[in-house]
Amino acid sequence: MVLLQVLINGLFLGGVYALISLGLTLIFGVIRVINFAHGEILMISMYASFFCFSVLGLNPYLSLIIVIPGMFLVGVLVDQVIIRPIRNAPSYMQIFATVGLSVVLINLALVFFSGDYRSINLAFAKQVVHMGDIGISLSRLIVFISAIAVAWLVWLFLDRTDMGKQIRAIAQDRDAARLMGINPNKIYMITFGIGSAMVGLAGGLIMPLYYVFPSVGAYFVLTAFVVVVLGGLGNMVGALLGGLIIGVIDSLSGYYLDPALKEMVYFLVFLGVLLFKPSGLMGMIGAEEMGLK
Amino acid sequence: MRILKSALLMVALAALLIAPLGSAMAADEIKLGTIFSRTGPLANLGLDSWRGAELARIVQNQKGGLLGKKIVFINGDAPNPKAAVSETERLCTVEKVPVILGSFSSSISLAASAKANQHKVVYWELGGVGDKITERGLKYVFRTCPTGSDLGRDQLRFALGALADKIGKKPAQMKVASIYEDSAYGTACAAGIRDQAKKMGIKLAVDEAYNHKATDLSSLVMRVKAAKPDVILESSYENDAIMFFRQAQEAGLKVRQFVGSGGGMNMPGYQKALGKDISDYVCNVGYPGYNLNPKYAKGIKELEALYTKTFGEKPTSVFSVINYMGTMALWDVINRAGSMKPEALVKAALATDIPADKTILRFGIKFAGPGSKNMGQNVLARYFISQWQDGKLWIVSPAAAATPGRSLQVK
Amino acid sequence: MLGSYFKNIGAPGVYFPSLILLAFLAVAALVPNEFYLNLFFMIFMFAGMSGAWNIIGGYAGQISLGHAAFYGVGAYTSAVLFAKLGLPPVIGIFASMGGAVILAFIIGYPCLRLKGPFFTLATLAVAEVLQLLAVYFRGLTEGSEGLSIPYEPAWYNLIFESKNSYAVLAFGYMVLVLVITLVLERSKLGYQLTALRDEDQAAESLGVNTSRAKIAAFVLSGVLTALGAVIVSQYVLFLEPHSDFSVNVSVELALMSMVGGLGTAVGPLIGAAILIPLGEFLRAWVGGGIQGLHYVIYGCILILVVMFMPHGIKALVENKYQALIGLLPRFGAAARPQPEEEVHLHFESRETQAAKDGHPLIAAHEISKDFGGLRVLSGISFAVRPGEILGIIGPNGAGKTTLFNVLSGVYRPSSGRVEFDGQDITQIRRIHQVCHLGMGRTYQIVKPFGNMTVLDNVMVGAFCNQAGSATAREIALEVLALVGLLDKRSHEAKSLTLANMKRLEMARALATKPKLLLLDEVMAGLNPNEIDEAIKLIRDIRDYGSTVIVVEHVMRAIMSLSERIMVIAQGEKVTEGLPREVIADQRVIKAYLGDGFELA
Repeated sequence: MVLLQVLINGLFLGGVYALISLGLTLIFGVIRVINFAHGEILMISMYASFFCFSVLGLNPYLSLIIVIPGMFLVGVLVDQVIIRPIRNAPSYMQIFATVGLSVVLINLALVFFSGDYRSINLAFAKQVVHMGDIGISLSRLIVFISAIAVAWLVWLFLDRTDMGKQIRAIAQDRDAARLMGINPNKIYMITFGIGSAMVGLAGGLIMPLYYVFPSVGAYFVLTAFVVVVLGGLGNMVGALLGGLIIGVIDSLSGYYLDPALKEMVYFLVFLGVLLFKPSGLMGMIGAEEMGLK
Repeated sequence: MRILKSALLMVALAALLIAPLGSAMAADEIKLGTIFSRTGPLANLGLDSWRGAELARIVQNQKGGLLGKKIVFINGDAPNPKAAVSETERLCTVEKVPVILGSFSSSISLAASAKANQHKVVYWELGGVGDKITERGLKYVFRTCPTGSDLGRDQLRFALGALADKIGKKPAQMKVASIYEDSAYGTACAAGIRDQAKKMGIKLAVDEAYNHKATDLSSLVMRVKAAKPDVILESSYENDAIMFFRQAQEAGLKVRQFVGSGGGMNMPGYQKALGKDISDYVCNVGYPGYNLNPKYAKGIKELEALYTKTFGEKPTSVFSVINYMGTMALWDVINRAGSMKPEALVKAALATDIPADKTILRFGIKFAGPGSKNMGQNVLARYFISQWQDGKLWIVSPAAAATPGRSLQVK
Repeated sequence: MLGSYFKNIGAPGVYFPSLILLAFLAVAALVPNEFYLNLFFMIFMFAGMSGAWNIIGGYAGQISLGHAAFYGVGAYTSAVLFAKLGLPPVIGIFASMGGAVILAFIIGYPCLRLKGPFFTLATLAVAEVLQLLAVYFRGLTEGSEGLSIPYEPAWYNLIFESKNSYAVLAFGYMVLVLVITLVLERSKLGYQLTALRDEDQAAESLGVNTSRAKIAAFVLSGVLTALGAVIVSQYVLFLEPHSDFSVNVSVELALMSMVGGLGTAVGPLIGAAILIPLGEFLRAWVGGGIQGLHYVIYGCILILVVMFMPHGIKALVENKYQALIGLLPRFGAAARPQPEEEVHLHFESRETQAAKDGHPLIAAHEISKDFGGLRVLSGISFAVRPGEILGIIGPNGAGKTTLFNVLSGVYRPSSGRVEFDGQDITQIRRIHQVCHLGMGRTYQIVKPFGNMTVLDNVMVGAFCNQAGSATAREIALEVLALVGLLDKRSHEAKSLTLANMKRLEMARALATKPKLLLLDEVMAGLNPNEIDEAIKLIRDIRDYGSTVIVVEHVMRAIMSLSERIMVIAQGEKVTEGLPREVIADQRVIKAYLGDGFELA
């Protein structure tokens, strides 16, 4: 029974990780940029959700209508201002630029919002459905279901729509795609926007469960990297699966091994994946050299 | 583009030239350094701690300052121990301050005080509780507040004393779980609990560390739940304390009482996040706040008014009180030393004997002398127990200090 | 190195930087102001450690954001030995360096196979794991409470009462790293690192064991970082896992190299000299005011530098510095003016076993290659005699480049084998070994090491059989004379025209002294004059003793060059024979023009 509860906890936690990782993996896979400021985009969306609640009185689930498009714009802005000028530069420059952006955003948040921990006290977030000895938190269930739904929707989008097909074409061969008349800059911009909007959704959904403070992103982003690599670069289903696996590992090792060591366990899993199957669970062999699936 | 590049170069050059100048020293001023986390993850509590010292400075300046001079603070920012070292370096060598006040965080205090000691600058610790700070035999380091293991000691004492009484159990029947975050603060509290448990012959049902940066604590919750404790002794920062409590609720973990040890569990943010669920349910061993019985802590209301007037908001935590009290003790030392020479200051500090009724918190100040294990520690320091009731922290123990009309409650 | 230094001490380019360094040393030794000393100590230390990072991150182009792992392991090893066992850090420092070597192998051996962002992420994760371990094993490290190093001043403890001693020690460390970097720059390893940073695969084809070179650089970088970490920790006297294993340490080291000039010896020095005081200044100036404001400024500077000065400040001031050097007088007898280096054209290929035995130099037996389900080559067999020129032609997509990649060991064939001078190429796992066996190749899409000079490009190839820089340089000059690039030797490779880049490709391959040279469309895009020159060049190469296989679309060239021609189409061999036989072959015409086309 305990095992079952631990597994459920792990899966729900995995839903949170997956939701945050989905946007990262999309950006990673298409634009081939490791966005080290990804966690800060999460932070911004959590603040947005918080202020919608505290200033406008909007329920965090309702305020997603504002937060998601808002984060899309933030993503577009980041892409056009920071990433675009160094699009074709070596990857280390993109790493440095996004690290710099992350430092700036964390500290701007500190300047404007101070270091306070802010959270939303929502009665709904505490509701737990009990089935025998097993407790299921409704708000975590929503995160979990959203993660699956978002992964599926984005997959549909990439597979079925013209825009999605263009994104995939760019991801596979940017030169060839350009010859076919696709405007890469537009695609990158939209991809970054969509990736950020997905993080916006994540931020809005976890706000009732967590709390926000300027460096909250750093707590999540390393895990998100692990998830993305584990799942296979640029692979939506992989990110979902990777998130759930890491969540379960986190929960199991925390309960059966030692809470102080659980992060180490999944970092070791991460290193193992990098060494033995760098393409990740769902990636193609050799994908790590191409930089995408 | 060219302009931008030249501008960057200029900034760099300016940095080289201006950095060491420091601020000009006026003859009628006493310059003292402060080291607090003004940025970084601990910025919140660091800044509020500093405010306590700042209030003491304002109060003393209103009384005419020290040795006939106005007191001025040079405020250093230490987001992490590395920065603490270089800020201390700057305060000691450029600003040439004779005393540095600090620093809320134990890690920062440990790094900064070692450096100050090398420079023969007095390091006056007001709020950092890590035991080690005063266990290294450093001649110039003094601490006015109680230590981390005192926190743990008082946590367990309270749980098996007043709390067990209230619940109606014998101390030996109480099942106690101890959880703590694994940085210096939590580790010290946990060690204090462990020592005290040994002394009292109690076996802890759970004794677990966790990383306060963790994004999930459900597995820890499950472990604690499996042990079915009566009381949880918890040493957490704010974010992890909120998370543990929420996840404990989700998992249906029920105990008679949580006993925290300050850290984050006495923060308004903790209460805001958890609302009425913690009412009558979470106690804290820690520094007392502005709701002490004014008959017991004389002047506390005036201090609160000054805080509000000076910083334009109500006190955001309780930390300013203990920092205020410790800083006031420093003024006493400086007045008796009669000069700002380090040796004179140390001598005066070691001779300190402030009786309990002369301080706002009603515990005296007397430092352990050379040769003792914790040289420079205020041996008279102790904690208070407060409890969250109706959205506020009220002092509930010792009874005389309790806010009028309040007493310990259990659900 | 040392000898030539003193010989040239009168030259402004030598004495001027030496004087600057001496001035710094004088400051470190004599200045009484403790604040400045602290500042200089930090600048020197970070210049040194950033220089150490620069070896793997700048020269080899492998961005590590996990150097905190080396920093932490280095600092903790000697500190634990000192604080717990009383072992003086002068000895403990070797244990630290040993720890760094072990760590570098453990991380480097598996992780350096990974490319770009993956390597970065792996190093990040390693540092994170080590941080957690350092917190967890508090018996050893005192965990998060931090490890205090006892203050016992003594030279063998690397703890001093005077800040001047610290500053001089730090200065020594910085100069050590600087000298190592300068020596590295001119060594075989240095050339190989720069080459593999620009073009990994091309470097392998020129005989560079890229994995070994990267690991060597990683070990060197890690050891020097650990060494620096010991000195810093004996100064700070306090270690704490959250700051010593922090990703901020790694970022800071990388940042200084980036700002100063990535992959240059002085870059990290410039970076540290600007960023360390800037950090102190910002903290002192705005730190006490609004929370976090100074980090906002810091972060903005980082972004602006990356976006607008990607080559760092060194590139920005390079010209002015050179102009300044030009104005300075030269002292003493000028070293003999460098004579225009004489280049002897006595290019010789290696002897082949095949020639002695009368066997073919290379023989392919029934090679097939599939990609997924797609068969690109099927059952191709042929042989080339020593000293022959074989032409391979075929329509686009026939599989010519794939065939080259199989011959040169880049791809393993799905079936069949390739025998080269008595060795089975298909059994060889690493491309660089093929080069050492005596096979050189060019790439259809040119892969110059863009940021190196033409001469340096060719030297990378020459190092295939030569360890010494002087000999390698001689060989490179010869080859450059041969291909007619001698006058462009000091140009950056990326500035060359396409024709010259193709020449460069050949020159690099030639410098490895190949028994067999595979030329992949070296004439595409050349004008008729250039084609004539190229034809002559290839003939010359053959006359010097190399065997040549040419893939080419320019019919005129292939007809006049080749002694035999092989035609492939759709992955199959169509025919093989003398040029005039092949051109008359109906099957060949069909292959090129399609089935429906009949020659009238």
